[in-house]
Amino acid sequence: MKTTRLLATLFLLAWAALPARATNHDPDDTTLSPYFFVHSAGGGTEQMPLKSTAVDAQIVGVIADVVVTQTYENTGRVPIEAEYVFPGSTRAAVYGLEMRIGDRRITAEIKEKEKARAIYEEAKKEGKTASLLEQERPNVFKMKVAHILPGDHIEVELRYTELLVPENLIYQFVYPTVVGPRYAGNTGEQDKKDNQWVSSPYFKQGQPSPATFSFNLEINGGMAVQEVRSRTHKMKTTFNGPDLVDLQLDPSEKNPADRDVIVDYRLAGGTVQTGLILHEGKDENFFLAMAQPPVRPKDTEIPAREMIFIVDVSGSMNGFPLDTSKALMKNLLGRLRPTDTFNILFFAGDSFILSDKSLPANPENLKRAQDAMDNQQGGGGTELLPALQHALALPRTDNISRSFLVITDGYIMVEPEAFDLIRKNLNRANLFAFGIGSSVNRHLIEGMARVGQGEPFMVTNPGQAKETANRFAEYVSRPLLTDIQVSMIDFQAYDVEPVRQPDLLAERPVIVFGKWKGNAHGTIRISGKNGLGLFQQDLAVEKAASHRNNPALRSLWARYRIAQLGDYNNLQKTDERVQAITRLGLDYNLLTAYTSFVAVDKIVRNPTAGLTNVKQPLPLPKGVSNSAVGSEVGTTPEPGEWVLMGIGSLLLAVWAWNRRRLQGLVEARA
Amino acid sequence: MKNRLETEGSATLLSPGNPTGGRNAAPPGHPCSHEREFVDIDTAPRTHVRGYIPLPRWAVLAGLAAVFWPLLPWWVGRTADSSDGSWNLLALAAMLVLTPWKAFREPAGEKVMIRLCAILALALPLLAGGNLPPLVKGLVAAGMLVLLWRDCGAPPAVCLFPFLSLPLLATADFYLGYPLRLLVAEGSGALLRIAGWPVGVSGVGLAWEGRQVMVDAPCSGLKMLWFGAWMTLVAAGLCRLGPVALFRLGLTALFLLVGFNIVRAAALFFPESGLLTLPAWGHGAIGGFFFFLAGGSILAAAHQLQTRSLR
Repeated sequence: MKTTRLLATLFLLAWAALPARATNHDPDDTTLSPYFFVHSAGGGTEQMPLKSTAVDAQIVGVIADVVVTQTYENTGRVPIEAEYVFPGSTRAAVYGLEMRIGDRRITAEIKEKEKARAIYEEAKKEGKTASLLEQERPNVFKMKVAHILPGDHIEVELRYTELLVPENLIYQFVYPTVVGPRYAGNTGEQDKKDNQWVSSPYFKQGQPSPATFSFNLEINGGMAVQEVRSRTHKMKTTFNGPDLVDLQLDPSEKNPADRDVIVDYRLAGGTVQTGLILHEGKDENFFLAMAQPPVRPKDTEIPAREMIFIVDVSGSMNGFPLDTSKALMKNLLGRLRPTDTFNILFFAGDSFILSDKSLPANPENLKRAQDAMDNQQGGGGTELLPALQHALALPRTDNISRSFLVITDGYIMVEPEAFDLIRKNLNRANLFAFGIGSSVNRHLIEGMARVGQGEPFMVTNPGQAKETANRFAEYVSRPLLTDIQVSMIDFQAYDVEPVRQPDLLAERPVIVFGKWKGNAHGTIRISGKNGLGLFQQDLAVEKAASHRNNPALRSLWARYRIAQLGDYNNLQKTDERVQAITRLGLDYNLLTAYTSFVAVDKIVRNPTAGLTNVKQPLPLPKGVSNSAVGSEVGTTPEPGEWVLMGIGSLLLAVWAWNRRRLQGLVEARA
Repeated sequence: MKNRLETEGSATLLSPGNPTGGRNAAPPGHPCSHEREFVDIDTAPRTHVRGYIPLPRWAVLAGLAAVFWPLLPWWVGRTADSSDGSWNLLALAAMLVLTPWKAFREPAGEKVMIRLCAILALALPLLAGGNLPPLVKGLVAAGMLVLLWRDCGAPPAVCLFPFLSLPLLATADFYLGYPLRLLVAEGSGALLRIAGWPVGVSGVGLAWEGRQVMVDAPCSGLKMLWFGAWMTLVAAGLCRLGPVALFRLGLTALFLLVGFNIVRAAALFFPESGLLTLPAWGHGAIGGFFFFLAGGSILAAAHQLQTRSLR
C-alpha cells in the first residue's frame, strides 16, 4: 500500500512539476524550405483543393495566346482558402484573370501589389469569395482563392500571351507545369517575407498530383507547318490544313503535369516567320520587327578558348539530372580542342575546383575531369553564389576567349543576386547557362545567359546531351552577328526595345519591339558584322501596313520593357524603376512584380468568415529525387519522452502492484 | 589527526528497515526486512572528534543549501529552458518521495561531517571562483548530498537521485551522444548483416543499395538511458538494494538499454529505408515496444536481485 502511495505521489509530482508539453514556436522562426506533404486524416478539411488545370493555347504566326483554367473544389466540411504556386513561361505577359462561381463571372482588376493584397484581405475578412494572382518570380505565380465553401466548384481562368522566337529554324512552345523545390539557404528577414512561396508542400518522388491536367494547342503557322512533335509528352496530332495543326495530350499520359510540356515545330521550306507586324491602337501604335539571321560563317579563324565549367552537384540534381549533366559534360569535354584550356568547379553546399588554374585539354586532363564528374553523387544545398564568385575571380590569361558554362537545374532563390554578380564580374567573358531536368528554373537559366552575353540551353534528358553540346560548340566558335545596329528610315519609331542589341550567337531572328506614330511607311534597317563581312536587312513598313490589328503586340511590348527594367532592377533597385514597372503593369493590364490581379465576389458567402488555409501540394518534377526537398535520409529517432515516461511509470506501477500482491500472499501464508 | 579520534564502540548494524540503527525497524515479514546485502558505510567503528557537537541532519542540509545557494538560478534556468526536457524534476520528485525524512531530525554522523567538511575545505576555493562550470559545482553539491542521504540511511539507489536531479541531459548528449550513436550504428549494422541484409556502416550512417539511414542526434538512445536509469533507481530504491546489488542492476540496465536501443535502430532501418511501410505512429510504437522490453527486464532483474539477497 505504501509503495503504491509513494508511486502515485511521485507520478503526480512529476506531472505537476513538468512544464507544458506544447511548445509555441516563434512565428518568425520559420524557414523557407519546401517540405513533404503529409495527408492528415480527419478534420473535414479539403487538403488538395485544386482539382484540374486545363490549358488551351493558340499560336498564330509567332504569337501564342494561352488560357489556363484552374478548377478548385472543396469536398471537405469547412470553408478554405487555397494557395497554389505554379509556374509560367519566362516570356509570358499575363493580361487577364476571371473567376467563375456557378453562373457568376467576376473579372479581376489589376492593382498595385499591396493594394490588391489589401482588397483581397478585406474580402476575406468579410466572408466574400475572392482570388488573388501574384507574381513571385517572372516565371512563378501564386494564386490564392479565399472562401471556397464546402461543395463549391470555382474556376479561375488566367490569360497570357507570349512571343515565339524560332531557334535554328525550330519554333518551340513551352508550358511549364510545376515549380521545382527551391533551395533558399540562409536568407534575410526581408527575403523570408517576400519568398514565403518557397515553403510549399511537395508530394514524394513518383507520387502524382491528384489534380487532372489537360492540354490543347492549336497552331496556325501562317505557312505550312511540319515536323510537329513533343519530346516530353505523347500527343494526338491532327492536321486540319497544311498550316493548321491541333495537338492534344494523349490519354495514355499518366502523370503529365510533372514536367514541362514542350512542343517543337518547323515551317515548311526551312524558313521562319520574319518581317514586320503592326498594331494601331486608340492611343498608341506598336510594331514588332523580326529579321532573318545571316548564314553562319564556315571558315572563320577560331582563337584559343578557356572554358570554365560550373557544375551543380546538389541534392536536387541527384539521380536523373546529374546523369544528364554527366552525359552533357562528357560531350562538352569531348569537343574541346588541344589548344583549349578548361577547369571545373563543382558546387553544392560547398564547392571544390578541379585545379587551381585552367588545364590544357589533353587526354590525361580530360580523363581526370571526366572521372571527377563521374564520381559526383549529388547531395547538399545549392550555394550558387559562392561558386560563381569563386569561378569569376579565377585569374584569366590575355588573348584567350573565356567562357563560363553553368550547369544546373536552377532550383535556387537568389536569381537577382546571381544576375548582379555575373553582370559585375564577367570581365570580357561570356556565360552560357545549361538548364538540366524536366522542369528547369528557366528564369535563372535565361537570365544568367542574358546578363552573361551568352545563350541558354535546356537539356531535359541525357539523350539531348550530344545535340546540345554540338550547338554550344557552334555558338562559341562562330557567332552569327555582332555589332548589331537598328536604324529607322522615314519611320517614326520610339520606345524601341531592346535599346542595345546583344550579339547573335544562336540561329534566330533579330527582334525589335517599339511604338510608332505618324504614317505607316519607311524602312527598318538591321545591320551587323559576322565572319563573312557586313550584313544588312531592310524591312519595309508599307508591306505590313495592310494589317494593323495585332493587339497582342501591346502586351508583348510592355512585357519586354518590364523584363528589361526588371533586369536593371536586379542590378540596382531604384524607386523610379519600380514605379515605371508598376505604371506599365497598370497601364497595360499586366501582372508584374509590383502589380497583381484581384477578383472579389460581391456576395458575402461565408458570414462567419472563418476559414482554413490550405497549401496545394505540388508534385516533384519528373526525375527529381526526394533529396531535393531534403530530410529524405531516414533516421531512427527514439520514442518521445512522454512515451518513455508513460511506459516507465506503467511498468513501475504494475511491478509495484505485483510486489504488493506477493507480499500479501507471504503475509497470508505466515 | 588520527590520535585525536576516539573509538566510540562497535557499529550498529543498519538494515533497510532500520536505517538509523534501530529506529524505524521494518516489521517482520516485510520483503525488505531481511536484506543481508545492504551494509551501511558506517559499519566501521564509530569515531568522533573531541568536542564534537552533533548537528541535526536538517541543519546540515540547510548549511549545504546555503553554501550552494548561488547554483539555484543556474539549476532553475537550465531546468526551465527545455534544453534538458525538465525531466530532472522527475528524479527530484522520486528522491523527495523515497527519502526517509524522519531521519533528518537525528544528528548527523561524525564521519559524514568530517567528510563533508573536508570536501568543502578542499572545494570551496574552486566553488567560490567563477571559472568552474556550474554543472561541475552541481556535481560536487550532488556528491555531498549523496553522503548526507547515505548518513540518514536512505537506500543507495535513492542516494544517487541528486545526480539524476541535475539538468545534465543536454550536456550528456553533447559528450556522450556521438559515441553512443556510433555504437548504435555499428551494433545495428552488425545485427542487420547477421539477419542477412548486407548493410554498410559509415560513421553513424547505415547504407544499403543506395538508401541511407542515419543514426542522428535524436537516435542515440540517451533518453532511453536516462528514463531507464530513473526506473532502475526507483526500483532499486523500493527494493532497498544494497550497493553491490545496485551496481549489478546498474550494469544489467546499461546492457539492456543499449542493447534494446541497437535492436530498435535495426528494426527501424526497414521502414526508414523504404523496405516496409509503417503508419506515422509506427516509429514511436516500435521504440516504445523495445523500451517496454528493456524496462520490464530491468524490473525483473531488480526483483531477481532482491530475491537472491533474501535467500
